[in-house]
Amino acid sequence: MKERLREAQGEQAFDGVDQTTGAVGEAMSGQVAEKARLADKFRRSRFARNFKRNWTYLLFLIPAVVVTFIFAYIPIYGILIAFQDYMPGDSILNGYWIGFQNFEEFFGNYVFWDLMINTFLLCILGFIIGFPLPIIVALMLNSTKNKKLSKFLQTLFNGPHFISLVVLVGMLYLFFGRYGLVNNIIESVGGERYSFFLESEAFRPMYILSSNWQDFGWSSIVYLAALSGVDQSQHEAATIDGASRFQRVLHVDFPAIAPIVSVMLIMSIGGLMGVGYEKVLLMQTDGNLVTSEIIATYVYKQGIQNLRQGYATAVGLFNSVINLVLLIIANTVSKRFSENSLF
Amino acid sequence: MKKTIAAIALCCAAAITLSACGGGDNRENNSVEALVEKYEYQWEDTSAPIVNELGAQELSFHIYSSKNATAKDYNDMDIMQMLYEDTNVFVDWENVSESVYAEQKNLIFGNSNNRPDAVYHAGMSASEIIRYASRNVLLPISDYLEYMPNFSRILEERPDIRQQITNVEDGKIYALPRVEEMGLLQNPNLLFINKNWTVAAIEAGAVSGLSAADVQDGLQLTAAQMEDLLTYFRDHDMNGNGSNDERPMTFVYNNWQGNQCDLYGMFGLNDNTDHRVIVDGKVTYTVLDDRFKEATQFINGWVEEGLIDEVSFEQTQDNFLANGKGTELYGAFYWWESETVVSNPENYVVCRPLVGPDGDQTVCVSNNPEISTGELIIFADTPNVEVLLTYFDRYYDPLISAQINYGPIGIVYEEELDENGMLVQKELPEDKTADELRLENAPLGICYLSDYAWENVVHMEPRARLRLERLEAYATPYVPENVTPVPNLQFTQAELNTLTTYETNIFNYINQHLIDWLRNGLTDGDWEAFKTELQSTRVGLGAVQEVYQAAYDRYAAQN
Repeated sequence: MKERLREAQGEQAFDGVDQTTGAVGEAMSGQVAEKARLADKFRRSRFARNFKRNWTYLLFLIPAVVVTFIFAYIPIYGILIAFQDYMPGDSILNGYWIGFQNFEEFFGNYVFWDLMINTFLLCILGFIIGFPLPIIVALMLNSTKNKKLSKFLQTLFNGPHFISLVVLVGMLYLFFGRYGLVNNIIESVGGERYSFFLESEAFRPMYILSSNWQDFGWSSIVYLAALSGVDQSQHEAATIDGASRFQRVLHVDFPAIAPIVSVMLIMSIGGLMGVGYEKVLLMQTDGNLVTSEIIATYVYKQGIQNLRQGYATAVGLFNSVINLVLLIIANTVSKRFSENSLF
Repeated sequence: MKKTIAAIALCCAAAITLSACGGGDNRENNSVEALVEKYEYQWEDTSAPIVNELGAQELSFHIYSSKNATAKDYNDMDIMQMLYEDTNVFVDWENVSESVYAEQKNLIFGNSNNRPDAVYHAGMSASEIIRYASRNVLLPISDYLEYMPNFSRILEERPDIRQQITNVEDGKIYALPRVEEMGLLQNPNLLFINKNWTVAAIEAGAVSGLSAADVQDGLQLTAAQMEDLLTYFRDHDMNGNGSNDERPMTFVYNNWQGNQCDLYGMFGLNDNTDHRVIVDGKVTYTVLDDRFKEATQFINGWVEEGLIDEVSFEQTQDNFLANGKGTELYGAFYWWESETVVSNPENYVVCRPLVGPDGDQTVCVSNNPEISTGELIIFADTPNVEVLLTYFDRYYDPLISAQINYGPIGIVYEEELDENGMLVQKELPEDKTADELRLENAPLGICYLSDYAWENVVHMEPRARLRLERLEAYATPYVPENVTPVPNLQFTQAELNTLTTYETNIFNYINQHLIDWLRNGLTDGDWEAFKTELQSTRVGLGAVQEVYQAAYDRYAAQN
């Protein structure tokens, strides 16, 4: 039954692609168009046949389609307020249209480039450190001989994930505050106290490292799951060929999880600029504002604190567009160089 | 068969998803004549019931309000029940915590089909009020002043209050204010210094021109003497606990009180956290004054020397207060009062403002308003709104105002007034402090407490009185006559657009630089670049200054 469902979906997708190429063909020449039309008709009928055969399974898709449509597509109308001078309670098609004024204001604002650079640096640095780390951890945990130790470590690494952001930042203040643990140690070994929260250079390392500390264990779960599916006979074959443990990790384990890695890579790049405002806002002080003001915190301040929802929506929309572009680039590159892609 | 069942199930699911819940307001709106006829509505006698028993049963109002975490539900508060008994106006309070309100405010306004009748503790900014008013969301309260005898009397007596709450676009009032004029807010800082430590420093000969006998409230120190004292505090184990944990001088940077601004008084600047004051009727930015540079350089010297503890720039108010307790760590500090900061306030004396290197001696003049303008708003579509307004008018009765602000008769105050007709504080129950009792039983919010009330109705709290005495002795005399705070100003829509475009950026721009300079120093080049950039069209201080000046001129012209 599963196979049938897959087949049906596969064919559907195939039909969709071919229909568009068919449409292009029509424009090229009459004869070709005629052929294409016939072929299209044939496929249509096959589509109809398939649909008839599989309609019960397709029925199961309806809830997913409906939920996605209601919760992900219908609310998109909200971006209209990016083009309005909007106040809560206004109807969405009110008379307060102001065109692209919100966007012009943002692009002309002197904080624009600072925001872009800060957001980009925070995200890209976090990504460079945060992306490979769970893969390495997963590979290491998987090849540990002592399975009990491996399980124990995995649990240990997952722990921090469940700490709430507020608590985490509270811990950071306790440890890295001027009279916190770290500074007490620095002073006791003869160093100078350092205000981690006031120095703009300290913000990014502190943010990125604490985020990674919190999430590397959790993110490695997906790779561990993939690794558990690696065929043991390949490992045996490699051992017989005289491969060392490290070589087996490199040539058996890693290729096995490579598809997952590339999918995760595309997804992370797609969400690269989508860093949340909560933690940054909690860690923000006047002293580190130079590096800690990012698009998300700016949107929060303008939209919630200054009650400029239209403006904040415009900025947020711009951020989403960047994300979409990044996602498409990553997907295209991945499609070109490997078999894997999201769409 | 199975297919049919599945299909039916799916259809049901879809139906549930699509079904929407309806709701609406089906209360009847009565004209004033009808209200008078049916419910005996009256507004002229401010001590008689507003409507009759029938009105108590048939009219009701739903009011949304945030409350502080320790307060009782407003429906259960004695003062609210007493008001109901006196007026027969039934109010159904919906209370949420302050943090929930901050999150939900936009949702309440956004839910245009199902809004409450009014929002108490609304915390509306001038910009919000003007924009909602232009959309006819808010009730123009000034159209109904005849039903509000107490409030209209206040407006007549105090044109300045009227000026501060009147929308300049259409000349109407859209929100009711809270007025609590004790004269405590204008100078938010006082300098306290550790008595024993100072005496120790003097006896050790670390500071010149001072004798131990000088160390009492009202101690006057020059910047040089203060520097010597702080250096001595820094280098010696003043509290005798064997570790070098003394914090010579501390405050909470850019806090609304207890901040760094008094230090700028050494250079003759009346700074505040907005860096904006009125000097000779002109809106003046202290950050454009070259004395600001000198002062910042001077203060930076103290920070780099470790005389001002760097944690002052990082700590929150809670950290600051917590660290003051227990072992004495603070040599000198700026705060509202010493009693809340340290465990043994008797060890600390109040100083006069520091005398600067050039002999200047003044203090911070803050823009903290004693009149909060957006405390209560009423939605435009509220039925029978005249009754509600007359009800809220009672809050401005002096005796009610005092109870709204401090707690009701019977809990906080004795039933009997004293021979002068003033409220008498009841003895505290054993398990509560005065603050706890007040926060639990008083809703705060809209009220009018001014000179009249302090003289005829209610005594100021002892803490407030103490602070007032200190301010009158050690702060207010040092404020030059030509310097005043910026009052609540009303802006036009166009002016507000300018402010929203530039103000956040200016604030960030100044703060980013200021904290860096105070900690790491600044050169003359930095300063010139800062001033040029600040006034450029990119950051836009010039435009904002013009807006404030125009709004202030309007305000001043009518007073």
